[in-house]
Amino acid sequence: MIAALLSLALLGAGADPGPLRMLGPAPRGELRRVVTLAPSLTEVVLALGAGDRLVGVSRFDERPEVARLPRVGGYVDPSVEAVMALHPDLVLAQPGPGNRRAVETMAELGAPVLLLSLGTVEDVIAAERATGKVLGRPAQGEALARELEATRARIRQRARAERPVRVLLVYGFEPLVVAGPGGFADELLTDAGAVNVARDAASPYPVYSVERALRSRPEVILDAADTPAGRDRIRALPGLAEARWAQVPGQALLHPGPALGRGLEQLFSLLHPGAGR
Amino acid sequence: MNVPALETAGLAVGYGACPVVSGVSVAIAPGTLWAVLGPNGSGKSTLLRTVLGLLRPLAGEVSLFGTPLVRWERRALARRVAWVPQAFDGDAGFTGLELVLMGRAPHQGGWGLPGPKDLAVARAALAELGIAHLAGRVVSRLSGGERRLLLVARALAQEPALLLLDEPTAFLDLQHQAQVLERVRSRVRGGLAAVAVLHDPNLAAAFADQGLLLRDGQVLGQGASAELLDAGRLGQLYGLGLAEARTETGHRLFAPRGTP
Amino acid sequence: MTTVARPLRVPLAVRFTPARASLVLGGLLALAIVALGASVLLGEYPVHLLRALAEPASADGRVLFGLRIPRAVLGALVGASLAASGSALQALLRNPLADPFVLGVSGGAALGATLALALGLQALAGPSLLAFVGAVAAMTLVLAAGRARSSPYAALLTGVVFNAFAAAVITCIKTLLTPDRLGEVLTWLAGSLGYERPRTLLVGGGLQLLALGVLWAESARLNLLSLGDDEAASLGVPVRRTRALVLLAASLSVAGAVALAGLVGFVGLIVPHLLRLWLGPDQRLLIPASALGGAAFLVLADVATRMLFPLFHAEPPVGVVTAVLGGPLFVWLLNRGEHPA
Repeated sequence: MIAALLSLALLGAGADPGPLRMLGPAPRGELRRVVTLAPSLTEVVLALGAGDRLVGVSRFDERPEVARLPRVGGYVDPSVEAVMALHPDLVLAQPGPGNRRAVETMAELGAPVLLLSLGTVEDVIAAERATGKVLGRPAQGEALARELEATRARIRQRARAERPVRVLLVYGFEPLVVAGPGGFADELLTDAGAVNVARDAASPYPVYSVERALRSRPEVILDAADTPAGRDRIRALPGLAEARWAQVPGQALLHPGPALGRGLEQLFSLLHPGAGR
Repeated sequence: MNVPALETAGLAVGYGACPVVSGVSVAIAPGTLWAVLGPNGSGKSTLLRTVLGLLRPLAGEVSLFGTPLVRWERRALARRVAWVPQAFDGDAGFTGLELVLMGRAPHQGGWGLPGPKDLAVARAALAELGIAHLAGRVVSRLSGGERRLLLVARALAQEPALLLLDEPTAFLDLQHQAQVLERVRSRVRGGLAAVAVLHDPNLAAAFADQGLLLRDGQVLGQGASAELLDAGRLGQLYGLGLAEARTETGHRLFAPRGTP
Repeated sequence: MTTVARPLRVPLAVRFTPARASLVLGGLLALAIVALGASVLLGEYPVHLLRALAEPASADGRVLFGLRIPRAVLGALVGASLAASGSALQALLRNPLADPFVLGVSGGAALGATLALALGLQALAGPSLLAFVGAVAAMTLVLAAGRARSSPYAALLTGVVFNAFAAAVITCIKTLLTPDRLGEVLTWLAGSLGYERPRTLLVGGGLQLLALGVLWAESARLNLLSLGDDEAASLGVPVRRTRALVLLAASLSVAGAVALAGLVGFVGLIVPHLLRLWLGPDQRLLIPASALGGAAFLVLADVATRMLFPLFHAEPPVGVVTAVLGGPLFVWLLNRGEHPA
């Protein structure tokens, strides 16, 4: 009981002030030197067709298009000096308490910073529009946003014809980390006609009770774990062994970005294999 | 006129509720050397600690130089009373001279920077005990006996009016045992009051003016050592039969009876 | 009961003299200045020193004054605090293996910071403030326990128990956190130097100056205390007052350091210990020497973390570098020939 309250407090108190924020001086002119501090943001820039303007990315970026670019640090530890050394016209960052000081320092030193939270699908859509606007490609941004909205609408429509499927999306087995409520994964599951059995959890990426997972008897278990450690043991448990186990089809479903639309379609096919068209 | 350096009345000492020894009433005048004798655990060290103010008396009163112990301020007391503890328990990284200089602390300012007088007194104390060569040696490299001598030198450097020694001759070879007590005796002649816990009645007989015998939580006897120390009473003190002899120089010796 | 390693050379008879102190402290000050210089001049951003100094508003100037200098100053403050407090505590607790976190201050600070990070508190420099509050709370607890009994070990034991308690609560909190928040907590706990505002540095610097000043002022009495409580009392030292004062000053100093930089390990253990081997156990010399040596050590370790950036595309927390440097060094020290006193 106390733990639940504490968890809710942790969740609530950590809410950021809005999904979109500018820090530092306003961006001026044509922005030709863009630094991103997270791979999801790199995806957005690339999808907008502005990849040639990127001059620096995080060390977690793996896209071949940015393989040659200098790395400026990670999520909680971007290097202020490395970023400033690239003389950026714009820095794109996902806000989090860990990088807050660093990002604020960049703004103080004169770099325009656009903070984009990518927690929900709506956040992603808003980010696509905002980034498109600031980079001077509003049409492309709008197109990306509409495409994602349209895909969602289409899938929702098709899902109405199907029976709801009870799903558990697993990010890791040891400990058991699943997709909880409030994140984009949960929203996509709902769009695709699934019922997220972990919707009673406290946060989007909770460490979930194994026994509660058993009790919830999911019909489909989506395996999104990056290591197989612990999978066999979980898979053998009653309540989970009878479910249909499937790997998530590619990374599209796991990263909040323009590829979510494709991920949603893959998800739908996975959950409703017999659905027409 | 002659205020006793140390005076106790009905003093009971101990660590907990139970006294280790009680009913101690002595008046130690300047210029006298007292020996405290008794079997192990009879409260000799505890008595010294209590008189110094390190332990609270369980009963009775203690006065030093006419002032009750509780009214003495720590530093002022340290300038008059010096203590040679039974063991060296501190950081052994100091050199001999640094250790002895610590005895000057009650006379110095906040930083303890030694002035010329402090250095002179310290070096003199070392020379007096024949350990001037230990000045630059680190304590950790020294034997137990050498450390004891440094502790005595430190107490002497304090320039006290009352000197309390807890088994000062432990670990010392015969020459140094005699030397330490000789030096103390010499200072006593100059007006120092000294109380030494000794484990050897022969040393007491040779050097002390007065004696205090403790056994079974009581004072077995006290008074001038010439009368107090005899085979009978000492035998009673240590719980074994003693034989007494006199050397050609007139000193008395005691030895366990029955040793061939 | 105490152990000491073989000194590096035959000591002089009296090792704390104004002349020798000036020489030693002067040398260490020079070392600290060199370290600060290196820290200000080296980094990812190529700073043109002359341009930066001439035009503070230029990009070079802003990096120099907004990044390099604050970080160097912070490193010096934290290093000085941890090393000097470590030296004082080693003397007070009569244990050359004590480190400044042993009194529970670090547990309190870590708990405060973890709570702040977990709750996502961002106003009022959340983690730092709560870390300081937590540290002061722990310190009060430990001091109260130490006052209740006159043994120095009461404070030590309370500190150890409090650290264990804090660690347990932190572990509990960690299990409730999302992975990204968890990463922030882990980074904080490992100890790292960030870029603080000038006002923060001024307040922090003032606190350290005060606390370390008190420690230095008590250093002569601390020497006597290291002989043992009874002997110190017989030499006129106000034992309980001195112990309380030293604990208070050391705890405040460590609280200030940990609040700003997290748990940077090894500095408080290695630097005083090394200096003690060279200079002897006299705290009148060791405390200021440790402050200067600690400042130089941590600033150089921070330079090392920044030099590692091109390799890992990440700056490891400085606590990692001090551990990597300090660990093997410490083992080597232990093997050089410790013998019981």
